[in-house]
Amino acid sequence: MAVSYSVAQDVYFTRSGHIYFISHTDIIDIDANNHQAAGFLDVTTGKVQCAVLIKSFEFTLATAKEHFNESYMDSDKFPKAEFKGEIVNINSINLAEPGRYQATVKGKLTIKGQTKDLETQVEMIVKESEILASCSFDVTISDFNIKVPALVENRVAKVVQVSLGFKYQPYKK
Amino acid sequence: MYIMAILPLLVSGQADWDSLLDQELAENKLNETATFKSWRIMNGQSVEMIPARGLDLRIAHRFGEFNTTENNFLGLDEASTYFGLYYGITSGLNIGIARATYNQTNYGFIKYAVLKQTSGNKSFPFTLVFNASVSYTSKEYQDKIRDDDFVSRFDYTFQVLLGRKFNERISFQLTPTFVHRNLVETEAESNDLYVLGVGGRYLISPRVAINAEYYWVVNAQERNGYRFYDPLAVGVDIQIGSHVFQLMLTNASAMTENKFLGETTSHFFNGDIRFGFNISQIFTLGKAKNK
Repeated sequence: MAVSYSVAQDVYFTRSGHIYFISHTDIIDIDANNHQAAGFLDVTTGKVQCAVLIKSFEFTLATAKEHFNESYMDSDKFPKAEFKGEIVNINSINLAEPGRYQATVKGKLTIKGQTKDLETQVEMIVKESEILASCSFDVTISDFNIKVPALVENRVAKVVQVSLGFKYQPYKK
Repeated sequence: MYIMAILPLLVSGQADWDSLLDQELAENKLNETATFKSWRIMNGQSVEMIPARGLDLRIAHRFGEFNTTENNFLGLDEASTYFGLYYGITSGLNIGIARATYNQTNYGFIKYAVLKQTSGNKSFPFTLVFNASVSYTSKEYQDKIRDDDFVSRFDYTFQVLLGRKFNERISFQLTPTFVHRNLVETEAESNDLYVLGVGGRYLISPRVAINAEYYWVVNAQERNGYRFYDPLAVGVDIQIGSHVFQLMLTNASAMTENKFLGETTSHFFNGDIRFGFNISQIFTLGKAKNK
């Protein structure tokens, strides 16, 4: 019984997940990409978990990375952001079969040491040997103790748009 | 009994993800950022590079000495000024041009990052940058022959910048430097200078750092009985958005390497100290929208 539980193809994994975010204001757009997010997906239980290092976000704007890490995210103290959750409609979709599925993912998002509930729609494209998952959601930065100095208040959005694109492959130990 | 033996396996199968993800993230390639707040520690270049397509507009002043006996408001009535444009071709290759009033110098540099400090499992302990600069003295000389001697107006500086960010607050830099002046004012002076620079910063808050920078001119020179002194600067970096303000106390009045390393006549520990500032405003050219 224990052996059948941990069959490898149930668990999918990526170490090069893409996360993009943008802070949009009328004055300036500040955006960043990260291609080094890591994540697990269990297609039978619907459990998902992913994590990303704050310091590996790369920005379009010069010097934004430094401000982001030092002034906003305190990334030496809080090096990673993390999501732990599950696909709530796992019983109505069969991720073992190739196809396109709408999954509802619900869980806990932790950024800068603060944990909040997050629920979002994830599009899953199941292929022979990989699963493409993509979603987008909004993050209210004050929920995560991210403070913006009054001087640049109108240059940083109160709500940051985040989008994810993960290409999972069967996890091999 | 049998069930009890299986249970820990089930639990560990899930809990494992935490440590497995941490192991994966430890493999992330991370360039260490913000070793210093600016491309100059105070007077001299730092290992910090301008990111790709970043354009830095830089204005700097060094005022007169505080202890001067003249009536010039603690030196603030007189200023040596510097106006520069620096550009990041890539985050590993920077160029810049500047004009300094000191000897009416036109200045250019090229800076290349050979190795970058990285953290994570694939870490590398320091950043190594080469910097080469050329200065052209455009001031007029009384002596017609000297004035017409085009080649004599060029000075060159070659530097190896070795920097390490020890932690979030403390960074340190060693800067072996070679300066060649095509022509010096007196025969007794050497055309070449061998210099070792040391600099560091201590971050006191995310937006404020204290910096200090000293250059030891190994073969310190004299001119007509007056000796030249090693440049020393102590100051603060204040970062507000895309601006960095650097306020300092220093004995150097020139802002190009050939001059502040070769011709600093003030002696810091004699109290020949002046106030100075660098103001840097960085713009990003290209994609970013900036109304």
